[in-house]
Parts: sequence; structure tokens; C-alpha cells
Amino acid sequence: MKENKKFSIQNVTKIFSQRVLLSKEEFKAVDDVTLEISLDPPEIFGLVGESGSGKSTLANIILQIIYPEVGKIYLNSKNIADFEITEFMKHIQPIFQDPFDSFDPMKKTDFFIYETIKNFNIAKEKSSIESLINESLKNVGLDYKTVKGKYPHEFSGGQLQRIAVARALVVHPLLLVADEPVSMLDASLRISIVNLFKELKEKHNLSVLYITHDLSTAYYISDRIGVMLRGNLVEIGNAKEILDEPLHPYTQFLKESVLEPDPTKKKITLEESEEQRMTVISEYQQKGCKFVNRCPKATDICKEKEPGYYSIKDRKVKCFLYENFK
Amino acid sequence: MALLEINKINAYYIHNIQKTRAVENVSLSVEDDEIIGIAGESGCGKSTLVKTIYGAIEPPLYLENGSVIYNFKNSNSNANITTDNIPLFWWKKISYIPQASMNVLNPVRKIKKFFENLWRAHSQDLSFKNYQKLLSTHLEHLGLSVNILEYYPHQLSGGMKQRVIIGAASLFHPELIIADEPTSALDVGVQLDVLRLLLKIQKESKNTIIVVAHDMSVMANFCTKIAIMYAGNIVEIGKTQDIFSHPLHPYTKLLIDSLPKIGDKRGLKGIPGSPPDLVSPPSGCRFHPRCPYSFELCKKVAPMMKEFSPGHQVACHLLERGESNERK
Repeated sequence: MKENKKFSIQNVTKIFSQRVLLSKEEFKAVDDVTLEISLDPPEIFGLVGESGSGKSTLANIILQIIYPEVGKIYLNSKNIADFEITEFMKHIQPIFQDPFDSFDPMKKTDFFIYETIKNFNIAKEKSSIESLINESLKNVGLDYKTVKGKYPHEFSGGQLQRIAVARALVVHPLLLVADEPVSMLDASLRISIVNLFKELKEKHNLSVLYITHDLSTAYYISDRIGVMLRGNLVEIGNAKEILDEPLHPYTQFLKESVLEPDPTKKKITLEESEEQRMTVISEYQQKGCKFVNRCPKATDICKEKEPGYYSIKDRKVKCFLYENFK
Repeated sequence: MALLEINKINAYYIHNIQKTRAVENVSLSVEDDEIIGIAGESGCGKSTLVKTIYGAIEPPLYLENGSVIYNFKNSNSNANITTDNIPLFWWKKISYIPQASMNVLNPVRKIKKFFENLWRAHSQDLSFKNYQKLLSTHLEHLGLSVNILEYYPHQLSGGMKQRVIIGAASLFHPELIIADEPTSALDVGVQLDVLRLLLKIQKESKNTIIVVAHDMSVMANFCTKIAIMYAGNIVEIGKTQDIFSHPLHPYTKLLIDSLPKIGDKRGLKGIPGSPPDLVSPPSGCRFHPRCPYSFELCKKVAPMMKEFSPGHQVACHLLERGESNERK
């Protein structure tokens, strides 16, 4: 039986340790995360959460920049640790947050695409390299003539981010790992980059892992969404269903805090909110559910035991509230 | 009389012979007891505009012409306050919450020291005892525990640091608070708390807040009036409600249409092109190369601000043409 092509992450845990005087404190930046991203048919998977929830750590694990303590990751049922690194990078390519940081300011911009082609040995002759650069730039809506011979500072953030995507595309990857690709961009350019991912998915069968803290763009492009909280994936399922009707109290809290660009739906009131949030490190150390100190629906069991995943339709929720649905 | 009147200011950054026209021909009047938002893309001159208002004009920034007139209530001196002598009134009448303000705290000094320095530099007429009393009641009022004074900045989270800065900015009850991107570095939940704190301060002391942000949802939720900036010019000013329900300038329209919302998966379009370089901005209306409705006149003549309905001003030839057509 032929299995669906997919990228699957199984029970991955990453532990960071911190030395405090003589003792050593450990916390799990990514804690027992399991998720699958379909590669054929392609999908856009949105990974959302607050800062410090382990989203970027997970991205770094996927890109093999850091290695997990526990757990395995498979690309089309082959462990990614068994790949040659160039072979692996041919399948999975990153897009980073700040386009101005991902380019060397002293080198010409098209040189990066040229370098990638050389490094991956895709083409050798100059003419075929040029036509490849031309093609990949066309895919992201840019013209080779306007890019050729220019330095990064001559472009706007949106254009540079497009060039970063074009660079990733020359190797024809299966999956793009985009870590906050639009958070540094302006509102008017943001949506065009987000649309570009959508277009790449439809035209080039490219899956995207879209990591963001911005729920509204995640809702807009993602097919499925995973919500991260202090290393745990607490809710995972169809993007529209999750954000239209969030089940986990943390997802509900996130959705409640999103400000909408609509003056009729004002969310800032003078009512007192619960002050003094727990600091990040203590929430990581929390036994049981990590959200228990902020959760309005917390019960005693939440403090003692870590909830498992409960399935509701296609959704998985890591919360005791849905225990009886099992 | 308006609290703040800005008359046709041009503020340029001058490096050698290169002139970056960051703010050009901007007029704005800010009333008492309102929250005015200045929205726009990065590099459109929002921060330069508020720096000019605050009087922090240091080379390479130069105020070429135009003036800013401050009409503070019960100011002791009758002398005209201009951008030259405004530093004397910093923190007392006008205070500024800079961008990335959580990084302004000195990492090797306790928060206590930060407030003490503030008092030494700006409010020597207050005795130390009275200052301490003021500080503790003020912090308590804002929901900050007095214990934080003994902390070092690294012991506080980003949101707490931002609250300390807001506490400092409102300590001497200034009439005007300028907040430059107060929430852009914060998480969604904390963002809401910080905006709530600012709103509380504004409602209680009935002062004016100028907020600079690129995030239109902060504008929609927080401001009573919005000024939209594009490439160094203000292109539209109006009440929040009017800007969002009847945007008149094509840039505002496209900007508002490009914002994704939860619960709406329809395809959205971004604004084509990218913001111009302010060293050599386009002729005429600066938005014309990206504007889908531009015509000949837009390339040649820069449009002036005109009032189309009470309190709603727009600078666009399209509307002037539309209006004259209606008259005929």
C-alpha cells in the first residue's frame, strides 16, 4: 500500500538547560510534539502561539539546526537524520523573519540565488543558471532585470522577502519552513507575501509551515492550524474550525486578545484585568497543564496531571474539559 | 484653542548633500482630551513627525520651515513655547514613550534609580518626600506593585517594563503623551493590557495621547481620530469611525481592504508596488505610481488637504474632481 506523502514529527522534545548558581534548571522548549504536514496534496500548516511558546525552536528542529533530545522526524517515512544534509535541504527550505538580516549587505542580491544553485549542483553552465534564476524570480512576481546587480539595501522589505522565497524555490523543495515571514513587513506588503504562499501551494505543489503570532493572517492562509503553548501543542485541526470556534481555553484567550481592524468591535475597556501574569520560566516548570494559572476554567486535576489529547471530529485538543467527548 | 498646532512643517534628514524628505508640508491640530493615531508604513515619516512635535530635533534631523505651537493650560510662563524651548517642559507637560521603550531602562540600575533620576532632572521643585509619596500612589494607582522599584530591568517581563515606562511618562501628569509604537513588540494578550493602561490614564487625567503605530487594528480599537501618513505627507485625517467606514483616499481604502480578519477567508489584495524612497520622492501626489485611479494631474501637482465632511480631511485630486463634477 502506498502511503500519502507527508512530513511527520513524532513525539519531539527539546530540553534547554539553564545554570542557576550551582543547580541546573531544565525546561522543555518543545514538549512531546506530534504533528503531520501533508506534502501531496500540499497544505499550508499554520503554527501559532505567543512569543516563548517554542514555535521557532520547533522550526529549528525541523531544519536540523538544532537536534531534539527525544523523538523522530520523518520525511516520506525516512528519518531526516539519515539524509545527507544537501539532500535534505533540497526538500526543505527556510524563510526567515527579517529579510534584511538574511542577505549579506555587501553582496549582490542575485548572487544568493546563484550561490544556492552552485551549492546544490543544479546547473553548471552560466546560461542555464541564469535561466533558472529568471524562472524562480518570475514565480515570485519579480523581474530578473530589476534584481540583477543590485544590493539588498536597494530593495524594500517586501521585495527582499520575495527574493528570499525565490532563492528557496530554485531547489524545488517539498516544504517551506517560514518563520514569521511577514512580521517585519508593512501591512500593505504583508498580504501580497501571504498571497504568494497561497499561489505557490496551488501552482507548484509546495507545502508551507507558516509560523506566526498573528492569528488573522494564519486564519487567512492556513488549511490547518496548530496552537502552541509553552512547548505543548494544545489544539490542532482545521484552521477555520479552530478559529471560528476555539475549544481550548488558551486558544479562546488568544482569539479574545486579537484586536480587529474594526472600530465597531472595540476590545479595550476600562475593566480591570487579572494583573501579574506568571513569568515565562515558571509556566514552563508548571506541572500538569501549562495554562492552569491563567485559565478561567481550571480545576484541581489540571494542576496535578497533564491532559492528554482528546479528539473532537478532526480536531485534537489537549484539555481535560473535553475528556468526556472521547 | 487647540492644544497643539502644527503648521506646514518640513522636517528633513540631511547627510552631506543628500536630503531625505521625511516629513513634508504636514499640518495637524491636536485638541484637548483626545487620542489621535498616526498610521502609516515604516519609513513614511511617522516617527520623525512625533520627534519634531516632542522637540527632539537633533542633527541630522532639521526642521526646515513651519512651526509647532503648544498651548498648554496653566503654564507658568507666558512666553511662547516652541520647539526650541520645549525641552524645559519635557515630562511635565509633554512626555514621550519611544519605540522599543522597554530597552531604555539601564540594565545595571534598579527601577528606583530610574525614577529618581527622572525626578532630579525634571522636577526639582518637588521635595524628595513628596516625590516618593507621588511615586508610590501613582504606581499603585496604575496597578503596579511598589516592589518593582527594587528590581533590575532584566527581572521584569517586556509588558511590565513597558508599564514602568508608561508609569514614568505619566508621573507628572503631562498634558500630552506621545507613544511611538507602544505595543509592537508585545504579545497579543499583553498588548491589550498595555493599551488598557494607557486608556485608563487618558480617561482619568483627560490629557491627549498621540499614538504612532503601523497596526491598523490598534488604531481602530484605541484612537478617537486617525491621521494616515504616506511617504512624508498626511493624506487623510478623520474620526476613527469615518476612516474605517468611509475611507476617501485610495491609499487608505486599499490599506483597510488588505487587512485580514478572523472569520473572513475571502481573497485579499495587497497594494501593488512599494513605498517610494524619500530622497527623491515622486512628483505630484506621492502615491500616484501605486494608485490604481491616478490620472495626469496627479503626476504634476501635489494635492492639498481639503475638508470633505466635518472633521474629515483628505488630500486627493480624485475627490476634488468628483466634487466639482457634482457641482456642475
